[in-house]
Amino acid sequence: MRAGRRAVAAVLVAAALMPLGSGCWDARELNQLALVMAVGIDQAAESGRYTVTVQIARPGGQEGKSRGGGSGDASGGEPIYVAAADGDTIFAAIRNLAQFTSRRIMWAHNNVVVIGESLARRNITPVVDFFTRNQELRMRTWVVVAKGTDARYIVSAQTGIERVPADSISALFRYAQLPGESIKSDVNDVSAAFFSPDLTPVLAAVQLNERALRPSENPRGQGKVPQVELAGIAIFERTRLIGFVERETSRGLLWLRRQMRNASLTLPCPGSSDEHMAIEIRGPRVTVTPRLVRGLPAFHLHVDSHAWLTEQDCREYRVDAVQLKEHVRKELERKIAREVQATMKVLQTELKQDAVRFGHLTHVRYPAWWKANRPRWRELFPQVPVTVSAEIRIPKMGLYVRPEAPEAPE
Amino acid sequence: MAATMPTHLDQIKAAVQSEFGNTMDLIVRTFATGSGRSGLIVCFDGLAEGKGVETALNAVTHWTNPPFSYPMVDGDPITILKESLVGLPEVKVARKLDEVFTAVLQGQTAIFLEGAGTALLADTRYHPGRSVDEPATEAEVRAARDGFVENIILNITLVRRRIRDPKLRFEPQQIGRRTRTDVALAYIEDLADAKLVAEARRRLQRIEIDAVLGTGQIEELIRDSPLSPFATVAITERPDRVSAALLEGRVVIMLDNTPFCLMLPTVFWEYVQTPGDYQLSFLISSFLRLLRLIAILTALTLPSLYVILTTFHHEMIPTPLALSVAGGREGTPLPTLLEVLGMEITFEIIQEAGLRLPRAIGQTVSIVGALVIGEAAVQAGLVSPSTVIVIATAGITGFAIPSFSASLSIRLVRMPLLLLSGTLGVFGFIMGTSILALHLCSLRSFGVPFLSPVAPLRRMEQQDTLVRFPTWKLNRRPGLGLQDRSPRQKQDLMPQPPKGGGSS
Repeated sequence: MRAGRRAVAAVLVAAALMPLGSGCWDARELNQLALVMAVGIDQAAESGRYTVTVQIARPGGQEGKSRGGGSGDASGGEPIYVAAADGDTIFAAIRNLAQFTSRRIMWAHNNVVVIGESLARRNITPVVDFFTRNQELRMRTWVVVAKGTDARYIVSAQTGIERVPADSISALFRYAQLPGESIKSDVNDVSAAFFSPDLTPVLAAVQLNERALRPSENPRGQGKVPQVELAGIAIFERTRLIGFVERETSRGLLWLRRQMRNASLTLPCPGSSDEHMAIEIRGPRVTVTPRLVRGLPAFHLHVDSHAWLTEQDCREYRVDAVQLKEHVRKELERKIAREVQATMKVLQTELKQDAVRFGHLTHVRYPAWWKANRPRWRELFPQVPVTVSAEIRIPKMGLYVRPEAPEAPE
Repeated sequence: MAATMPTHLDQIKAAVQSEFGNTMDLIVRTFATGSGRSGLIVCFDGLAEGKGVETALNAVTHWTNPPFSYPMVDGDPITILKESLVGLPEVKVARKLDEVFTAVLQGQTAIFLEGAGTALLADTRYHPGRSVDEPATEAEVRAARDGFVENIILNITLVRRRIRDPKLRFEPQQIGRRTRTDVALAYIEDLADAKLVAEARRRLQRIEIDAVLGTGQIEELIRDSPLSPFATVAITERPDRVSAALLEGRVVIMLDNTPFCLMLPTVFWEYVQTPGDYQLSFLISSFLRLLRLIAILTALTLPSLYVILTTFHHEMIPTPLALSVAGGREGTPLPTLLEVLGMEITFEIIQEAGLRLPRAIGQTVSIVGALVIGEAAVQAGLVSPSTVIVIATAGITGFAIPSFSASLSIRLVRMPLLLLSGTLGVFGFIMGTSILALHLCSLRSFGVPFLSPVAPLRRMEQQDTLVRFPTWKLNRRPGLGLQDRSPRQKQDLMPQPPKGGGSS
C-alpha cells in the first residue's frame, strides 16, 4: 500500500517535471539571434562559388537600447554588422557565416534580397529556390538586382537616414510610387513570374551613386558617400538577366504592367509649349486589352483617372475650364503614349523580351491563338502595336484655371 | 441539562452558573419586585443594551399590583409581566432553560420570578459596530456610497430600504455549533425560483461546523466545483448590488459579523460588471465592460505572450520592436522566462507586502518597489526594460478587474500559463488557454453554466452581458435561466419626441 503510493507519487513528480526536462524546447533568446536586415548574393565568375553578404542589426546600436547594461561595451556603437561568407551553395555559404558570427542567423526580419548583376546574368534559379524553400523567410521581402556592381557593396553601404541601412533601401520601395519610376518586386512576385510559363521575372534595380556628402571637420576634405538609389528595372529572360530598362523609360513599363499608382507629369500650357503645368495622377485605373488584328494581337492601353493640377505656370489665361480639361486629357494621352512607346522600343528592339505580360494577356483572351502561336511569341512580340487613350476627371478645377500671380500694374 | 425549568431561583442560579461558569461579562442579579416577590435577572454585559435592561428592571421592580383586567392571563405572573412590559419591542416567554441560554447569548435579558416555572425574555439586544461606510473593496464613482457593516440587522435594513417589497424574505438560520452565527437567506419569494431557494437552503443546512467567522467558510462549503480557481459564488459588500441580485431573482446569503454577502448563482460576466454601469450611459458602460474584459485577457496572457514572442516566435514581432527588445536584453543574465517569472513573483510580493502594512510604511514599500525593483534593476542590467513594462502592464490591468476574487483567480492562473508558455512555446500557451476555456465551460453555479448566456449561447438574453443595453431595452431579467420570465418593465420605454409633429 505504502509502496504503491510512493510509486504513484514518483510518477506524478516525474510527469510534473517532464516539461522542464525538455528545457525550453527551441527557445532562443532574442539577444542570441542575429537579425538579418538585408542579404546580398554574388557568384564568383571562375569558381562559381556563392558569396552571401548579410547586414545584421546590432541591437546595442539601436535607439532605445538599454542604458548602460553594466559594462557598457555591448551597447552603443555601430547599428549594423556586415559579414560575408562563401560556399558552393547558398546554404553552405550561410552555414559558413556561423563560423565567425557569435549569434544564430535569423531571417524572419529580412527586408531586402540583393542579387549581384553577374549572378543575375548567369542564373537566378538557386536564389529563387533557396528563398522560396526557406520557411523562415517572408514572401514579402523585396528582391532587387544590383546594377553594375556586386550585391555585397549594396548591402554594406551606409545609405539613407535610417539607422539600419536596409530600412532605407526598403523604404525606397515603399515610396517608389511617388516618382513612379521603379517597380516593387518581392519574393512572391518573382517566384510567381519565375514559375509561370507566360511570364518572366521583372525586378527593381538599385545602384550605388555618390550622392551624400560626409560631414567633415576639414571643409575641403568632404568625402562623397555612395548611396543606394533606384536604377530602373531589370528585365529577365526566364532565369537570367538580359538588360535594364532605364529609369527614364521605366514609366512606360509601369503603365503597361498596370503598376502605376501615382504619377506626376509635366504638360505644356495650352497654346504655349515653353510654359508648363504639372499634373498629378493618383490611383489610375489602367486597362490593357489585346485585340487580334490580322492574326497579330494589338494592345490598347486605357487610363482612367482623377488628375490634380498641382502647379500651373501659364502666364496667360487662354482657355476656359472645359477646354483646359480637354487640353490636359490630350496632352496626357500624348505623354503616356510617348512613355509607352519609349519603353516598347527598348523591349521590342533591344531586349526582345515580353516584360509587360502581353503574352499572358493574350493567353487569357485568345487561348486558341496562344496555343497555336506560343512558340512564335518571341518573334511576334517585337511587332505588336500599342495604342493609348486616356480619360481624366479634374476635381476642384475652378481653383486652378487662373494662375496665382500678382496683378500686373495697369 | 434540565429540560424543564426549575421553579426556585436558587436552582436557576445554579443552572446558570454551571452553564456559563465564571465569566466576566455575565450579569446574574437577584432583586425584589414591588410586591415583595424575589426575582432573578440574567444577561450578558455588552450584548444586552443597558437601556433595555433598565426598562425591563424598572417594569419588574415597580410591579406591585398586576392588572387583573385580562382574564385570559389569569394567574401566571410571567405572562402578566410579558403583557405589561410595553417599553420593549419584543418579549417572549421561555419554558426551557436551553432556550434561555441561547437567548441570553444573543443579548436578550432573561427575567425569572420565584416559583413561576417560566422565564421572560426581553429583547435588549445591543448591536455594536461601526457606522455605514463606503465599501472598501468595491468603490464606485457614480453609485450609492453605502457599504455593508458587520451587523446583519443593519445590513438587512440597508437592503430592505431599497426593496420595499412584501415578498422580500430574509430566512433566518444559525450556522456554527459554537459560534451560532446568524445567517439570512435572502430572496424575493415570487421572483426567485423555488428550486434555487430550496437548493441554497439545503446546502446551508448541510453545513455542520463548529465555527463560521466569515463568508469564506460558507462559500467553500456550498459552492460548485470546489477545486476550481474561479469563484462560482459572487461576493459583495454593496447593498445596491445585493438588491439588484435579489431583483433578478437570485439568492443572497447574508452573514452576521461580516460586511460581505454571497450572491448565487453567478456567471463569468459579473467579473466585468459593476453597479456603476447602470448609472452611466449604456454606451459608456458597454465600453467600460469591454475594457475590463480586455484587462482580464491582458492580465492573464500578456506575460505569456511576451515570453513566447521573445523566445520562440521572433518572426511575429515587428522589426523595430524586435530590435529594441533585443537591445534591452543585451547583457541581462537570465533567460526571458526566468526574468518574467522573477519579476512576476516580485510584483506579487510587493503587492502582498503593501496590503497589510500601516499606511505610513506602505509608502516606503511602494517607493522601494517602484524605484529599486523597477528602475534600479533595469539600470543595473539585471532585467530588461521591456520585461518590467510587461509585468507592470499585467499588474495594472489586473487591478482594473472590478471583482477582487476574479483578480485573484487571474493572478493565480497566470503563473502556470506562463510556465507552460515558457517551456513549450505557443503550443503550451494554446494548451493552457484551451484547458482554461474547457474548464470555464464546464463550471456551473447553482445549475447555471458559468459562461452563460454566451456559452451556451442564448441569443435573447444578451442585453446585459458584455454590452449593456439601454435601460429601456432591459425588459427581461438576465437569463440566469431560473426564475420568473415575465418582463420587468413596460415595453417601448424609449424616450421619444411627442407624436404628431408639434409646431411649438
